[in-house]
Amino acid sequence: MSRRLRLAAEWLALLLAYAALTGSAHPGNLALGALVAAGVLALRPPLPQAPLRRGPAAAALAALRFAARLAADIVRCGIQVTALVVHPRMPIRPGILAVRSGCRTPAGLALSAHAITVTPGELVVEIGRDGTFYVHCLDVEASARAAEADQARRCALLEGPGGGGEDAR
Amino acid sequence: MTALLQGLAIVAILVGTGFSVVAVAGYIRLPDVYCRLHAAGKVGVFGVTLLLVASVALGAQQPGKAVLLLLFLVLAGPATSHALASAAYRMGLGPRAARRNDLPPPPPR
Amino acid sequence: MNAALQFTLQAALAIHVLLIAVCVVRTWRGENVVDRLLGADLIGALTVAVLVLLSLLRATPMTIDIALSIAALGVIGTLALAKHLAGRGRPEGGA
Repeated sequence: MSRRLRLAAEWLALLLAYAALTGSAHPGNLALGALVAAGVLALRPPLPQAPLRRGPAAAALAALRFAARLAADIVRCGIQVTALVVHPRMPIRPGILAVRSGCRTPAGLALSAHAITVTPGELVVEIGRDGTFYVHCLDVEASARAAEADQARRCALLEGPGGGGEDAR
Repeated sequence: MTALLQGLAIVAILVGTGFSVVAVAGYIRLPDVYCRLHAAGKVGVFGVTLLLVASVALGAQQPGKAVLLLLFLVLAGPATSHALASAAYRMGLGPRAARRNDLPPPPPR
Repeated sequence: MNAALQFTLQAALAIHVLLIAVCVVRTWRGENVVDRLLGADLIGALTVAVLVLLSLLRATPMTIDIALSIAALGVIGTLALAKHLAGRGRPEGGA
């Protein structure tokens, strides 16, 4: 996508968000929203390149699968963590795991770190220089079994299958 | 229809309140800062989300706005959790209760 | 408004206020700075919940907007304080 097209899409998204937040489609309000959106675009720092290097249809499908999987994980782990906390003896086994991220782009790294942290019971404490996630888990033994495979699946959805030696950007 | 929506709102409020209680119980009971972060993060994601669902069901708020606010909470919540965990790590507060620790000690400054 | 709904809202409001009181005590006696900051963040989240419940109970939609601005400012405040603590280095004394 060219730079101009991308800027226009970002501007439109901001305008839509403004309209939804103020809840009115009055022309004067929309004009003010257009100005505010332009101001935000002028002031914000440049965003990293989108990590998806596929056609738009495949990219949208992968994003949808990523979001659906994430929502299911949040609900499942939320219930598990609740059960751990209200259990009378609190059978937690906390610990910090090193998980290889395998991400090739900064945006992929940020999105998968966010996905890990937003899931209850797992929390990224630090990201090493080589892109290793240090993940604090409430149940370190259960997380250790699944962590590497989960991260590989996240990366495949975010950055496309296979490692082509593409570097950031 | 109204009765159904009110029933949905009641269930959402009850479950949301339950999550808030669990979060505070976790903040008090769990053994170290890193563990408590897991419990405290849940109020933002579950508690407030379910209260927003209730307010949309009761017609007190437009759905579009609620979706935007939900998106903001889900995006910003993990950022604060990570910032607090990172601050604890850099201040040298180790995970006392940890069974296993792959994280090297923070660089001295 | 339906009586069951009204009762649920009032009960939830009472529970949240109680939780805030518990959190204030726990934050006061917190064991280190990050622990206290986490407690303050939790109090902020519970305050947002209280304001949303109040707006539903009193039928004043504007209170929800106030709640959400508090949520947004709370996130920024916690992030800024955490970054400040991370940059300051090790705590002095038995924190």
